[in-house]
Amino acid sequence: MNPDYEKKPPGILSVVKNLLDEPMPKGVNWPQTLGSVLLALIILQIVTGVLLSLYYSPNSDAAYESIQYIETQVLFGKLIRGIHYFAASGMVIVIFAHICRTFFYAAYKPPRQWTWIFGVALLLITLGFAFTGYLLPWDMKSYFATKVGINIAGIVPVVGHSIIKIMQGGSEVSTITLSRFFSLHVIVLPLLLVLLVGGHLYYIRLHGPTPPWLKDGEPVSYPNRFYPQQLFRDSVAAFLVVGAVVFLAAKYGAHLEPKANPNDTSYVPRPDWYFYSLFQLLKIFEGKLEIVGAVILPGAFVTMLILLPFLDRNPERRLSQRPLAVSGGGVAVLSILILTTWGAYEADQAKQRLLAKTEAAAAGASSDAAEIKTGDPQRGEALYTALKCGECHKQVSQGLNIPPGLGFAGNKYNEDWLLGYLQEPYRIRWSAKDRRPVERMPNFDLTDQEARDLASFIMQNKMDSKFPEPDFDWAEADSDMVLSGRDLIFEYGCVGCHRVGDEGQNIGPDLTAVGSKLQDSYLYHLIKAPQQIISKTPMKDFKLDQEEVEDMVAYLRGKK
Amino acid sequence: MQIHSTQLTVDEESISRRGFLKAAIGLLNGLIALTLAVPGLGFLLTPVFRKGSSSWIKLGAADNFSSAEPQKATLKYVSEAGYTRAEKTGFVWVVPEAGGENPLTVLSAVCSHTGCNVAWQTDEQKFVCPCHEGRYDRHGDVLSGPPPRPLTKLATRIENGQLFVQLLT
Repeated sequence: MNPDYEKKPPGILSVVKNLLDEPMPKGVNWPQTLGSVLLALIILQIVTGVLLSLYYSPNSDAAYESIQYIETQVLFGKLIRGIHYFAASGMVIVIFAHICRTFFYAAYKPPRQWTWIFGVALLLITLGFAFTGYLLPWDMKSYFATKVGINIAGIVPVVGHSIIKIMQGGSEVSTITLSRFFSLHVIVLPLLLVLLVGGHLYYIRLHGPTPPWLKDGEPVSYPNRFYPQQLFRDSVAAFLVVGAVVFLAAKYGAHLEPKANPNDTSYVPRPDWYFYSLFQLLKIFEGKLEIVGAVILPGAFVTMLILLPFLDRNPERRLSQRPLAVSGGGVAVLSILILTTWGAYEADQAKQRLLAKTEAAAAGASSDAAEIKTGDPQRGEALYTALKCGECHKQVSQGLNIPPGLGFAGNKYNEDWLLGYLQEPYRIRWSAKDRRPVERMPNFDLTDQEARDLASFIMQNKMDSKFPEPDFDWAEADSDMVLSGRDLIFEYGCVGCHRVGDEGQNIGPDLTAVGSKLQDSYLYHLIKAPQQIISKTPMKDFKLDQEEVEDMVAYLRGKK
Repeated sequence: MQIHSTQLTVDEESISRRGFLKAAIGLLNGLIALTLAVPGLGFLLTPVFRKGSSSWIKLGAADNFSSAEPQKATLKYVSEAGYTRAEKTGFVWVVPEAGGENPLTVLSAVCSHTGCNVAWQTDEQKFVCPCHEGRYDRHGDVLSGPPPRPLTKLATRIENGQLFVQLLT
């Protein structure tokens, strides 16, 4: 009996050893790490995708709320969703580079044609993931970009409208569409992905890596093994890409627009950047030629990609010996890059035009805009409409008052505070244990002038009858009043709900700097009879007497 | 001999290089796994870290529960699960305690064994759990069967003649 036989590692270990021991042809180096990077990104997507599905709800009534819940209430929710978002973009970029590398190294040629075809199928699956994935949050972008994407299918002759109905599950984008896209995104596509990745890897192992620039059949030297030399490079590349994804996710998080509103007319839908090239093709071909940009060109491109190993029969791998393939591939790559950049530029232009339009609508006042420092309520009103402030802020304040009604903002806020808040919104309320998640107002990146315009418009909203001038002027308050007010705040248990400095709870709004935010008379009327100012507010009416209220205001107005 | 010794140095060098590569592979992939595992576990285990809350629920006038037998009292409460908020109904058992410190005790109807609802059986004068035949006396103490603990006593208070019970969620 061979004595070595007993030393052999048994079963799975020998399989792993065999896999790791794969010989690497001379010249295999960093460019060949892209496939492993993709594998790392796929694993990242599977893990973060499973996690997101633990809290997500594929129902148009709850999808957006569940994403908000993930973003604000689940530990690391923002980060996990951010990773899923940026890794998706990362996959598209790396897959593009991987296919370019394979093409220019001529690694698609026989005997590796099946590796290539599986690879092209994986590209299509990835784009399918991207398309089905961005409906899921059910925000404005989701709704409109998906609607546009689905309607493109309508361009297909004869069966177009049936395709639309099948994709939508009815005659409009609805909760059924969401279920269908969810099913595709988390069941159908992942199964296909795993099968195709398996096939892709099987063929890679079967034929080994392509010896760079050598014709098939030329003598090849194999100086290295996959482990550790190539696996080291793979690990470095994967680490850098995953690191970049996590960094971007932590810094920016994933985008979430307002909840989908099918009746909105001012929203400019734009797809995610990786569909800009297709989007631009749609715009180039108009009218009857529409079908060229929407179906024929992309269809022909994909067919060419799939059939490439059979169309290109030249056995050469060196670039100089493949003038036709290299120039054709070059044109294709350049076209995609140009269309994508062009689409990005146009998307930006459209956004600028929308902004310009709102400014133009509000203009007429004065043209030497650069010098203006005071706010112009007319321009502010146009901005208020354009930013759709009224979608969230109603006129009347009620209940928890989140977000606050602005009907009497002019009686409530100090304009300086409002100005600062508009430019840099912060969370007014924190989530309390028995409350829903509390969102902060989005930052609209207003310029100084825009904020002044908007503030001056908001401050015009007044309900003077609700806020009669109090008899007392707190500018004359003495220190006794302030001290007594301070004691009263603690005596009545205000800190049971409100935070004041280091003390108190985060259930109601923080009062630490309330003096800079609210006008004296508003504080006075609110404390005096909360339900008369904000109906159904949970704030308790302590039925305080005149003096007590005045003392409390004297104390609170000093909290700046 | 000389040739042999040079070969040895090359081998040693390549061995230490291989060692470095192997260590680096382990380190890099370990770091990737760690950056994913830490937030991933936090995300997964969020419900474990979340604190529960309590609320006082009105059961009705205390006088309504003056009969000698334990009485079923239904209650409405707001249940918040994640991003949803719904009004739900539940019930508890109100037990009059003649001569006790508190005139009324409120027992949770949830069996301490596997969580089925117990019901007061007038003929037996016992709380009986239908799932595994657990039996409790009127104070909620276990008489027979598998339940490991008595029925949970809920905190109560009486305000203006109304009975309130504290619900923990």
